[in-house]
Amino acid sequence: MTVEWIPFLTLLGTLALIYSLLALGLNLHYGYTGLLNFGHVAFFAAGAFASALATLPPPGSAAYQELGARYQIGFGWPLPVGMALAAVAGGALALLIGATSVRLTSHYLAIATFAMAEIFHSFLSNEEWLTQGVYGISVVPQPLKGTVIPVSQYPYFYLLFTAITVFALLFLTQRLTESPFGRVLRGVREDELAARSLGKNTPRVKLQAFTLGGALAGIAGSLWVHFIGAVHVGQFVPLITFQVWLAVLMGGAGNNLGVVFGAFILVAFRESTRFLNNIPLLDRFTAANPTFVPSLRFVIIGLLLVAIIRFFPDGVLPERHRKAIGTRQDRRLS
Amino acid sequence: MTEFLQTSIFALATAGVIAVSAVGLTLSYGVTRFINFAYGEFLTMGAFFTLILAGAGLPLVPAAIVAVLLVGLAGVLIARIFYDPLMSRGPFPLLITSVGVAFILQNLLRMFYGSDPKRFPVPLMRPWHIGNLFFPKAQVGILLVSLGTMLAVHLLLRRTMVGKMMRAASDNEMLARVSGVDTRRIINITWFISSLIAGLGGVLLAITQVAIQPAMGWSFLLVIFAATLLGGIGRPYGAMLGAIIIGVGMEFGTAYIAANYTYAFAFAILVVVLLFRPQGIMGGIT
Amino acid sequence: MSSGSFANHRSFLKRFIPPRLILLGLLLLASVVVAACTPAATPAPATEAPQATATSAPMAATDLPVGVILPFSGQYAWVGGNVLPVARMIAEEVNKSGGIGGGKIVLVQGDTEGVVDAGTTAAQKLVKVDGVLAFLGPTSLSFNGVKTVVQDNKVPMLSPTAGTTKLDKAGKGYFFRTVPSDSLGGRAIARAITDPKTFMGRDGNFSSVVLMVGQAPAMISFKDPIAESMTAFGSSLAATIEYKTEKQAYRTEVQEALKANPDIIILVGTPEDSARIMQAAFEAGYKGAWFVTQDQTTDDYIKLASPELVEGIYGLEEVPAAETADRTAAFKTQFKDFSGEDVKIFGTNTYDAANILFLAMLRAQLKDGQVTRATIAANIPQVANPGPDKVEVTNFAEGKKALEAGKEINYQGLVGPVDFNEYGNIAAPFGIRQVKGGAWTTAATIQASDLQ
Repeated sequence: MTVEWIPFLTLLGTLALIYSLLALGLNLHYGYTGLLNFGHVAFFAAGAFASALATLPPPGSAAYQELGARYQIGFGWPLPVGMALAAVAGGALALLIGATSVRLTSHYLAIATFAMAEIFHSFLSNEEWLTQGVYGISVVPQPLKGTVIPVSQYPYFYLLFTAITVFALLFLTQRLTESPFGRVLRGVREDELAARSLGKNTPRVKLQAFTLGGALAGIAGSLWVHFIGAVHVGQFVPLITFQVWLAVLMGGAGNNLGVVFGAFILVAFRESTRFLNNIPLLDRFTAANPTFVPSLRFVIIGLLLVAIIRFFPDGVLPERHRKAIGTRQDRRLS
Repeated sequence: MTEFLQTSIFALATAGVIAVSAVGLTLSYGVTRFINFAYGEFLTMGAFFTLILAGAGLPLVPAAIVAVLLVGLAGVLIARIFYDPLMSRGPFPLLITSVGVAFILQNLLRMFYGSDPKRFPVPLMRPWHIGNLFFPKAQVGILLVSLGTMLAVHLLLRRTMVGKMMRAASDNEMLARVSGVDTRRIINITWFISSLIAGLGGVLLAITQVAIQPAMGWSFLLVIFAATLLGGIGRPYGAMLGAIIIGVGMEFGTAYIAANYTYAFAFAILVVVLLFRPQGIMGGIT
Repeated sequence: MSSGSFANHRSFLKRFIPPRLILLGLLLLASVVVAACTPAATPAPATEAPQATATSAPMAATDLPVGVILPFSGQYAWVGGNVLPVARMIAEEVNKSGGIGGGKIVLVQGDTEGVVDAGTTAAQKLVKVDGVLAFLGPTSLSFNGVKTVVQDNKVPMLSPTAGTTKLDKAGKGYFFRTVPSDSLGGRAIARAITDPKTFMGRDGNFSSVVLMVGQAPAMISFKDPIAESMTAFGSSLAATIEYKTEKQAYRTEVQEALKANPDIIILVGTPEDSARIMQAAFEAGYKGAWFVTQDQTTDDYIKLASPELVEGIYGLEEVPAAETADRTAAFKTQFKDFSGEDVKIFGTNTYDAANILFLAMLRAQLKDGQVTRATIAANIPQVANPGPDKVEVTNFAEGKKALEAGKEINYQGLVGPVDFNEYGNIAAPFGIRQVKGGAWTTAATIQASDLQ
């Protein structure tokens, strides 16, 4: 059989779009508002589970029997409802976490969000009645698959669906960040004290940004879960958060289009390193130690992170310079 | 009552391991002002260097001492390669860089040493019994070593010139520099001591864990962070206090509430404390 | 300070090219270089044609790619590390004996990283880019991400590692495994514990049985089967402790377990967590028995936990040891010669999976004239299941000889007769093993019929 690049690239494209949405959310937190969120994966997980539970056929229904499943909650609602609930779940969790921690200063915020994501992960692993714990649910509906859209065409359909969703949200996010609200966010980021002295309720503004970013990550969770057709807490590990950070930093924090682009670079890079074994010399190492080359991939990802921060602190598409924000040099990375 | 006391013994042993590791992290923060996500990897290095040296025929204690010193040197080297060039750019680039460094170190270890769990060469020992209580010998040893480490850090900071300079650099680097403190040298020394303590923490962790694998330090990192922030970052005595609170929280939570939420208790304590004291108990330095 | 020189370096470059373009250029270059190393595909007229292309080594048109889809990085990297060398040994044996109809088997690594979506992309890459004909793998966790890929592309999957009960009825025709379902494993453990005289060689019944199970997909899947089977065999669990995996110590968890005064603890966990738990129980003065699952019933585990600690413990293994002892020993020697290492966890399961897969490919070649995903899937039960006038074979060479002589074969594996049911599950007899004198010995065998 031939090499089918197109189906493979379709898959990667869909995944990159989903990561784009995660990056857009984190960009609202960090890029625009300067909040160090190290628990982004929790919002992703909240959205994924919310959407899965909303759309799964109810226990006891005929569809449930047919799947031979054993989950305990399912509402059988259509996908748009699942996506809306995912946004609500991601946003609500962000609101909850944000309410306790957005007032913390940078390092404390980073660790507090990291810790909250772990608590949430613990919750998802343990509350089996809700999530099936570490056993996971592998029968999440993929709407229209096999009925309206043939199985072989489904990946293209889903790519299109994801693309429309993500670009619509990109457009909305861009509108938001270019609005007066966006200016307040950047004001908080650059100098919170100044923003406050101008009469802005900065904790409230931060909380709003945190919630919106969480909602975007929640929608990403919904797109992800119906894309994979399974949901499992094993997916929602801190590594995901760091990958989204990498996408934001590579693309250019504070630039919505930049971080979307960053997510594409991330996925391209992550997946192209799967081909490392094809490099003639390296496959010898695999013969001696099968984990050599796969671990090398992660060494390279680590080096990439280090190199980007050191040599290309503004990313591929840096934030555009805005004269209205005063003359101070960008305080973040230079 | 027996259960309560026995759980307290376990909590103290856990706190001992956390305390050593947290003190090392907080020391480096004092001078370098960023949270080092690669810190867990120094623990892993301490454990694996000891294992490798012990495998080469050294008895456990000398192997551990040599390993810990090697980790100290590795810490200085890594700091010079990865962190020094960014020192003038503020904490955030350093923080993200340290995440990258953690990836690099952990996976280098997997590349060259594989990832199956290895036994840490501590012999099986019967515990001491007092009444209904028992004291595992290794755990008592860990507790003594960690108390010794705390005392050593205390003496270093209070009684030696190096310690005084470290404290000066930590309180106000500018002022320290104009007063004639060679801050560059102090930063190197701090990296050495902090990494050395991390290596020691790794050896203690390995003794506790029995079976070790390359992600051991990374998995333990969040617990160390929790203890460090709880006490107030950059405050060595705060880190010790934080370690005790986290250790107690984890073990008592496991015993009296639910075994499967063990780490969540530690983090929940952290979050609750930060709600009321956003800079930690002892008021962290910024 | 050295930072100065870097700053200069940066501005020097910057003068000519904006840094972001350099970054973009470097990233694209890296991606392209790596991808370009994939040899260009030879266009084949039909997608189901026997010729498969695009694999790692320089290839001939008749190469037969097989994907090994397992974690090779991250916490569970050891699983891939254990399986791949065994699969490679069998593949080399096949290739040296002339391959499958002249085509060589090429194993392609697919790293699931122990994360769900990486499992999906790895599987898709193997199917779409490498054009693999079958999967060896995945594990219980990765199965969540791989299942849809198997179903949508009808790629036969033969897992030596996934005991998860999710695979019990995942689908017909494409899902196979050479490791028994945890629902059977759990039942076997319950059977042995409720009849210790017959199956464990000890007098008196256990009065308090405690289950300790780690929170990971491969372990939690034992929880319900053990609990349900204990009830079915007229007993029950005194307590069940679920614990967080990869914790530094389990002293308090063990204290909780000991509150129920167990005389036997069933321990389902990774080798490293199990060692920690048994150490903690030893220190707490626990004198009762232990029963562990297949992951710990290995020689490696005795070394990891120390022989003194594990003396007397019972373990489950899918081996009717008496019948296959010689062959297992021969395999261990062969593997030692091949790789210089000892056989580790999943070694024997992989031996069977690889032999069955390659024999199925051979039979597809001989009987159907082409080796495709569909013919391989159809031939897996053909070479593994019993039937009238079938020759029993125990390795590829024997099977090849019989098949080429026009006979039908029934592969007999190291883990048992490996006969697949309609859902691709094996009903292995189980061996109850016990550590005596620092080595695993066989205490009893549980036949499939004992588990009714």
